[in-house]
Amino acid sequence: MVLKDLSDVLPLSTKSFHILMAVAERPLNGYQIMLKVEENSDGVVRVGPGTLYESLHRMAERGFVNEVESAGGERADGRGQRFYRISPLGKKVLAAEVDRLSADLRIAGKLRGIRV
Amino acid sequence: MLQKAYGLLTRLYPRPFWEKYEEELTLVFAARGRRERKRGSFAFASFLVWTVADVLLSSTRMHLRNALTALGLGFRGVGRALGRALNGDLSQDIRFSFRRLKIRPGFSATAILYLALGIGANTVIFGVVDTLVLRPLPFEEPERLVRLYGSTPGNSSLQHLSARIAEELSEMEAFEETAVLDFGFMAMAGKENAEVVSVGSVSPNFFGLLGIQPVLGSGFDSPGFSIPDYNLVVLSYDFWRARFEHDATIISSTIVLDGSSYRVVGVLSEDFEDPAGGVGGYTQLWRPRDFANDGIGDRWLGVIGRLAPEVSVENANAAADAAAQAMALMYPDALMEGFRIIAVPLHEAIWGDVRSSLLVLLFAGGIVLIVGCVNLAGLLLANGLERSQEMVTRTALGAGRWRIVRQLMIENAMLVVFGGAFGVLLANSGLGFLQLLQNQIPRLADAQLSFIVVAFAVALSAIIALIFGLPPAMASSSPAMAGALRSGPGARGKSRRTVRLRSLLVGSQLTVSLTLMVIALISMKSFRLLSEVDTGYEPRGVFTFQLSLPRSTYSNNEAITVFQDALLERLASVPGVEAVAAVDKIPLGTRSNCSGFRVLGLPALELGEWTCAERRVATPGYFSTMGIDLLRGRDFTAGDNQRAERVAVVNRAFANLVWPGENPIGKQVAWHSERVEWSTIVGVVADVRHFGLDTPPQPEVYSPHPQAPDGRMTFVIRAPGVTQILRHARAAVAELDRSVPLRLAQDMERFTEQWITPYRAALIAAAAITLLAIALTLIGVSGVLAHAVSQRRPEIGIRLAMGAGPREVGWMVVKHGLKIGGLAVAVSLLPSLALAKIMSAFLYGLSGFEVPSFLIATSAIVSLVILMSYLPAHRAARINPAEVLRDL
Repeated sequence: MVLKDLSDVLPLSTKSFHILMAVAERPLNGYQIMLKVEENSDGVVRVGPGTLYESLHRMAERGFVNEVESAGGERADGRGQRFYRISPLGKKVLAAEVDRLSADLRIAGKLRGIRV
Repeated sequence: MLQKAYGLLTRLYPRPFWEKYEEELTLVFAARGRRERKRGSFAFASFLVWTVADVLLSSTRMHLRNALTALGLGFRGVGRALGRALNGDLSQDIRFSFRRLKIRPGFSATAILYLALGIGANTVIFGVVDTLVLRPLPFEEPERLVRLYGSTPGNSSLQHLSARIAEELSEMEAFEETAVLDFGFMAMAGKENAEVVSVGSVSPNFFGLLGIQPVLGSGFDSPGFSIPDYNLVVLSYDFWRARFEHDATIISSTIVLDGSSYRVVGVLSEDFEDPAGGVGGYTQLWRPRDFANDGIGDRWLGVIGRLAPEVSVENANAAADAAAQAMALMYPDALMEGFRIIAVPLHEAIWGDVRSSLLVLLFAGGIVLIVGCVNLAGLLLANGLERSQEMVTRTALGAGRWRIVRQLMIENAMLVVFGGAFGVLLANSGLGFLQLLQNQIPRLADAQLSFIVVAFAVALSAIIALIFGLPPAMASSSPAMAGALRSGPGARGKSRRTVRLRSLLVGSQLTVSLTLMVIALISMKSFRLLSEVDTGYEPRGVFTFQLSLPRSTYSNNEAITVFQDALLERLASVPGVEAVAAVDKIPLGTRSNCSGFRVLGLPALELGEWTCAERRVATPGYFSTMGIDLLRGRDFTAGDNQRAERVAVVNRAFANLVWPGENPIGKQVAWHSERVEWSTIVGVVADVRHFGLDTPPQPEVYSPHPQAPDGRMTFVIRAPGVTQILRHARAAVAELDRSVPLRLAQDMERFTEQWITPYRAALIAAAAITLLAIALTLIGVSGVLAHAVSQRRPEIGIRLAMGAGPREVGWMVVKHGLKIGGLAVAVSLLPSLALAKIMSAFLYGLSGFEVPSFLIATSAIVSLVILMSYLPAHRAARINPAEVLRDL
């Protein structure tokens, strides 16, 4: 899927953002992503299984993540489970979103009385 | 098995999605479920609800996204389009839809009402259930906590235990630890007068057992003290906030209770809940107490226990039972044969009574939602098909097909939005209404609208709007429908099918309404019986207040008696006062104080097993003051004092239990204890409902006050029409002793009313829900019949032309209505009767199948159906055959 430019997909929803971050370093399966997102956000962001796979599906369609069959020799339950890995495009989108958020924070930092 | 259910649930997603992901979803669900289950059954239950909501929401989202993509929009596109204030197809469609809905206010209002009722009712109910039941108790591993009660044969109430018994239990393998608690009042010295505070007296390990840490201070386990210090106190959060305004320096300061100093060592967290609570206010202070001097038979305490790991409640019960039997053998004077100990999971002990009502409520809510949705479905279906003409015309004139469908869907969406918003508003006020029950169920104050439920209800309605709105919209905009412009046989065939479909829908609504009506009638009967229960006393014109004499100043019986007699004298002299007396506990709302007794002259074997009766203490004149009938013999007199022979007055339940058919006057009873003191029965009084309207009266034995003095008595004044009587009372008390505070001053009539109010409220709610459901259904009935008439116009016209009388034609319509109604009655027969049987198990005053209620409901529904068919029938009869024939 070709994007005209990244402004079509930004801003990312909180869920998508966290999911992308979860798989940014190494491929994870669904359950692991779910736990990682909660861990990273100290329990603030929770995704249910349905929402999780909905997002993963969409991101796979748009090319942000790739589906990999049992990456790195990990096999949960002895069955081939799908693992998800961030794609180069996904990395670009994630970076762009981080930039966007940082820009917002910089502006907020300039306000008196708000600590960033 | 849950996994399989979840797997099926995932079928809600679009096919390509669930085909691909069902397995993974189920695995993740199972893994997460295992994790949540370890956190406790309530965490697990919340997890289940959350997951189901998650599926519903995301699947709806996915379907919507797919649908919108097919229509050439994206979520983002919709957002941008809505943001554009000016022209643009979409905003035009929105304005157009809005106008269409305004033009047909009847249709719109009805649809919105259906949605609002369904969404509103369920939101309230689920909010309540979530707050009361689903939320776990704020203790560590709450599922391993139990409440322990005693029981004796012949007495149905759950009784208190003693500290010694609790100790014995904690030695057992089944229990890790036990603690005791007692609830009482003390006078806290204040700046001017004493203030009454509610105090929980507990064993020092109480908070440790619950796994509670105070948010401030260290609690009872103050480090560095080897000798246990009992002059400590812990404040509840609300008390700390209200009385000390969040002052953190309160720790280590002292307060004076009942004349003794107590050091404040902690403040509890805001979400702490009293494990003995659930009813009757909250405990403001907690203090540790030494119960070492209590005998094993001094059963006046509540006991909680923590089960040992891997021990189930059944195991614990078996162990406790064995222990009870052993104890009864070891201490036959203090505990009687047949003494048992029962362990109840703490959550159930607190909320158990409420649960059955909640279940009924949940069920009713589900029904209202179903009725509402079915009504809505019928309405949308009819609406879509009726407008098929209009749609086809628009298509013929060049409007894009998707445009038309989109516009229709927007209409439906608006209905859902308005209905949902209105429903949430209704829910809000519904919650407010439910808070009438607050004096019974304090947690209700926290009940909030649960977002999950609102989302669920809205999602459900949206799905219905899609399911029933989309197909007719699609169908009517199809180019192939061009032929329908002509009212040929094809069109009529379709209309017939519509009528049949709508009849079916309405028929099912009638079934549901009928069932609902039966439930409501049954509930009403139960509530009515309950509110008419004879309490056994006459509360009109009676005022009461409670006095707790501090033990430090009034340390012996003499002092207590002197004070109370003096007070009674003073109160009697107030103008307008007809009678004054005192009793240890007033009717309604008391917990059991059951003690074993013995009867002279009746060998143990003949009496059967030992039983226990409620102990009461009253001054002379109490019975007449409270309006309790004296059935036999005499009341206490001033002559029944410490020096005189010991006497007692029993209630009818007691007399019937021990000497059925005989005169109990002159017989002797004594309380089960090491030192047996026999009392002669001098009178029999009527039964009073001490424990609640639906609890049968227990056997009671009253002792005269001087012979069994109690520093905590409730004074009863009969002074009808005397305003400010309580002010006089306060003055009288202050005259005698300024440091003794008055508490629980109340109007007995209002107090009694309060007990009836919740039932009355529930009755009104049940009636309201039923009436609404029925009204909605009947509107549906008349709608279907009217529709049928208009569709059958040609047929009717022909019949009339062929010589049929208008009455015959009208009767045709009525017959149609009756057919639907009759079918509904037949179908609802079994469920209604079954439900009645189930409900009679836990509602007061019901038995069996409650056939009369069913018959009443049936005749009501049938007559209403006939009534509703009057107008369409009338219109059918007035059809002009000539006109009809011309149109053909």
